[in-house]
Amino acid sequence: MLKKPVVYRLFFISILIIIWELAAHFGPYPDALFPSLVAVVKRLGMLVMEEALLLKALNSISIVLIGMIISALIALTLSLLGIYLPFIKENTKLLNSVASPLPGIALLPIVILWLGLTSKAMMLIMVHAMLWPMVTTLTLALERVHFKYLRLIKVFKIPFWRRISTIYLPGIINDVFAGFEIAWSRGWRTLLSVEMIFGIVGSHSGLGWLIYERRMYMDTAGMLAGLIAIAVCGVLFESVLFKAKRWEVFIGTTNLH
Amino acid sequence: MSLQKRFLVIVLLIMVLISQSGCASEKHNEITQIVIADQFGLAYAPLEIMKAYSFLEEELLNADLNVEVVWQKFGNTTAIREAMLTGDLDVGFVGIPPFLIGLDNGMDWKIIGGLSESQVSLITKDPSVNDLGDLSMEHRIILPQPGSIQHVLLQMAAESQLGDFAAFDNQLVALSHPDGVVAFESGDSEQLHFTAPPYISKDLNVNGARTILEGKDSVGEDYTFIVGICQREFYDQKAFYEAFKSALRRSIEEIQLGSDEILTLLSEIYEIPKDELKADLREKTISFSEEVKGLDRFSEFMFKTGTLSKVFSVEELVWE
Repeated sequence: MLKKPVVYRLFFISILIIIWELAAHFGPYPDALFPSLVAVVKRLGMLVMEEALLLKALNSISIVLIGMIISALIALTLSLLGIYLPFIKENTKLLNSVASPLPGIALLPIVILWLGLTSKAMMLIMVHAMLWPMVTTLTLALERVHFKYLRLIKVFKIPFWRRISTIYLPGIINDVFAGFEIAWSRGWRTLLSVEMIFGIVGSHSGLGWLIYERRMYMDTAGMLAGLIAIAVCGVLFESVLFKAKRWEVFIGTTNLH
Repeated sequence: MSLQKRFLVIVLLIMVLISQSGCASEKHNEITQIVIADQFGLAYAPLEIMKAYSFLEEELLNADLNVEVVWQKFGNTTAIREAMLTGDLDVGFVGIPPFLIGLDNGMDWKIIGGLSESQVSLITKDPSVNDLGDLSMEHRIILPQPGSIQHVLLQMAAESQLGDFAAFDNQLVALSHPDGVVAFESGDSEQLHFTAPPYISKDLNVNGARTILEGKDSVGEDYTFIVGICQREFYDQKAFYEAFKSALRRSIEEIQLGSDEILTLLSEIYEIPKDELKADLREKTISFSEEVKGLDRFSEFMFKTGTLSKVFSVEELVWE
């Protein structure tokens, strides 16, 4: 027996599918505006078979992941140093408050002027999009853990590296995943916007470019297939991969909260 | 109400809404305004003259047609195609390849007439590049969009010089002409720009910049750069169609005469020196004519590359 929320969801999805098909078949819209779902699914299958879709999805995902690793390392360094060096802490806060509200796509014209249409420019935009939410989450988490265990650290005179491996890292692991989740969603959206507005930047093209290109060739079914792929990747990463609880089992860390 | 009943009510409501929107779009038939779209560049100069001298308004008045004329400027051909598809546009000016892609995908449109022939150049500032064969995987080619006339010209050249029309398809960067100039000027030497006047001369001002490919060499014959198109709905309104065609003819004749007044007007609009404009027209860097050339060549080539599903005959492409 299916659970109620699942029934609601299936019901809602089937209504959407029926609306779509009715509009496609009986509506006044030409195919180029409103292709039927059969055409979209066929196109999706063709793009998967041609490997275009999978390769482009992999390219997009790998750019976001590389950006995320770089951002995580910078964020972790800044947050750890911030605990002991007030100068770093204050200026990280300042930079965060200035840079965080700026969407990556808004910076792109100036970054293109400075760095040209290169993969460096793309990576800078990606790191900008992902770094600041990570810095915010990690700084708060580290401060919380630090003050919670301050007396313990002082009394037992735990050395610096041991403090990191036994107190800070296990204590912030949930926040790290929360940071990853926010960073992923910001990075993913930024990458697609950059690819759609400015075309290819870097050596390979991604899903944003696929949609852009399909639009130029008036392939609406292909555009919708690209959108489905983007939604699937988004759901996979945001709801599955970066959910900390799923990882605690594997990492086996103690939750110190 | 049970789940099934609710479901049925929703579906019925939607069907009513869809049929209503169908009725709304059928009310469109009576023309109250003519909406015309062009893009950036000197190739659209006759339309600036038509606008400035109100030629279309005059022709419409002569035919006792009292409608408003609305001009719109679009960043690329796809936007024009989409506006026409949704019924927001009557006449558009585009390159031949995007027009063919639209026709092949079911757009009920044809060519009203040619507008311009123009130099289209691929420009590099990389000293080690003299032809397409010298380009590496690291080079990027900036052009307005995939499927644009510049893209097809690049594919033609890639096929004749390297035997692979798709050789550079993964190295494209899509930017409008003005943004392309900025990226070309500021970027490293691995960026090339495929563009048209007046942006060619702006690119060539960059230190070390030179042309490695001309559009005419790719095609191997003269071809029309920009054509005017409309859908059947507009063509069937014969009085409007004829008025537009007359206005277009008058505008092209004016620019062909190239009076001082016209040159002053254009140099102000495009912000280029009058002498430079005069030289462009004299040396035929850009020329204007109603005649449409090169349709067969583009249609055959784009069928060969798989962009089109068939080769179109001239009758299928031009209204008259």
